[in-house]
Amino acid sequence: MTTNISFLLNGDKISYEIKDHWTLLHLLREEMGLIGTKEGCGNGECGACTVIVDKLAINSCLYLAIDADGASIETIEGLASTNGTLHPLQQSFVDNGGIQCGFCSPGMIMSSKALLDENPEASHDEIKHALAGNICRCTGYVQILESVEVARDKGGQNE
Amino acid sequence: MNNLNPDTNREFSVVGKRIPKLDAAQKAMGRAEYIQDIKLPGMLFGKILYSKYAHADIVKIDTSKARALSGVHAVLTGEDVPKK
Amino acid sequence: MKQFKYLSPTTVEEAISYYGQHSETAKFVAGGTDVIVKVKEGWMEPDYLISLKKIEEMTELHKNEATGDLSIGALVTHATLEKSLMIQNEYPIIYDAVSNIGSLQVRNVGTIGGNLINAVPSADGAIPLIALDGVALLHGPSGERSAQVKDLFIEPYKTILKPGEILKKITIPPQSPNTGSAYIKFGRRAAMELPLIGIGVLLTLEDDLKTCTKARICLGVAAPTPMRAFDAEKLLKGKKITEEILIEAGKIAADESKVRDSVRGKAWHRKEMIRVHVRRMGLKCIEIIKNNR
Repeated sequence: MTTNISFLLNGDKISYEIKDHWTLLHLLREEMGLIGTKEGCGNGECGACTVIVDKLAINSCLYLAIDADGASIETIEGLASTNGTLHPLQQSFVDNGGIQCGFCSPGMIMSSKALLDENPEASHDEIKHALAGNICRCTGYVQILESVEVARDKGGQNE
Repeated sequence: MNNLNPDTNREFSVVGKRIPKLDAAQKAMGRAEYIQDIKLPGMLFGKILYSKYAHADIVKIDTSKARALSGVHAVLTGEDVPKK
Repeated sequence: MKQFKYLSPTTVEEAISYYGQHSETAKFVAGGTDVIVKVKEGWMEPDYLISLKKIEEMTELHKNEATGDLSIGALVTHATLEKSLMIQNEYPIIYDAVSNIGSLQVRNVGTIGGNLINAVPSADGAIPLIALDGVALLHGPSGERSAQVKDLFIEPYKTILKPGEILKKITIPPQSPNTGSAYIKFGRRAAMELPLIGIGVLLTLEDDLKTCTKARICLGVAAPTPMRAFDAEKLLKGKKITEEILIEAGKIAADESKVRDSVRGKAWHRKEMIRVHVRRMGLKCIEIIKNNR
């Protein structure tokens, strides 16, 4: 019950022999060692496991790895540049108090990236609607929304 | 405006400045390690079994079936807690 | 999670043939946002998962401009419907319902068909399709058959689908001019929850923009399965629509419902909300009709 799949991961072409029942989350965390994506609930209710597949934010805990065959996947590990410069969204979360314990942060940042990539001028309400599936226990959400809005206003540029 | 400092010309390096959390960047990159992320060779996984009954008196806990399951290394109860 | 073998047919016939080979040990899966949860929690223990994702005809969303029919493939995701300008403009009740299902992450993957087949009493996706007189096309080992969406549901978690049958698509018949529709998912939270009550209303008016020629009042979480408030609809048909008559319709709909107490809400509260929102959604329909003229 194994299958060979290949996909783009943060721009790199990857081939992998997977078991059919693996979720994408399992493949990323347990098999490939990419621990940036978190497991919060395991059933699609918290968004901590959010990654981007073919430009869409999805819960990787409910997405079978086998469905990633041929897809382009973005995870939190792909955002910062190789020389360590943070992606504007990451920098904004750091600068604007969007991170406390940090467990929800990769998911929040990936949801935000999927939104701003598609809709760079997303309104406050559109941001809230897009992030409604990402739960945070620490911040009360205000600074998370501010972090996304500041990044949006900077037009995706770091200062 | 700094009410605590009588000498208004002093410039502070930390007080009154916005200091980001030390580990915010690590967390933003997904590089901060949480318990869930730690993998040690030969590590075991524990799970807690809670009593269904509040304030109950423990008469006996029979762990024999649990210990006999394949892959189970140990079953710990209050009996295993050092008395001292 | 139970280990299964994943099969990926590219046609409906192939999918049904896979089921024929493995029968009870196989389960169909669409987006997976319900099925994968069930497999993880042990409610389903399939040896085979037959994915419908690669069956192209099931992923199509198509409005036939000549006939006015709307065809929604069962594998169309809620997000696709939410983002479609055609759906937003011409079928606002569908937009209202699907845009608040789960979260964006769930909507990007979860499908309109999967949601129907899951057959929960709250099915936000079912209410608009019932209000629009949608017809479901089923395909199984014995061939094709169709059924009104309103007749799909037997009881919670159970539809009329026979083993090996697949919901292929839903067809919405042409809408009359002067039609407005709206849905509200009423609950305690703004997102990420099942509704306490779901109320969908569709009204068609004559050219005088007052007299009702068609009314649909559809309720979710008001009975074990999605329901229509037929008596309330009869009240409105042929009458001039005023706020008063909408209030009356709301009362009748609330009385027709079979709401119950549950952990999330009380029956009396649900009845109140039916009264309130039949009126509000009715007024919204009128506004949409007037704005479209």
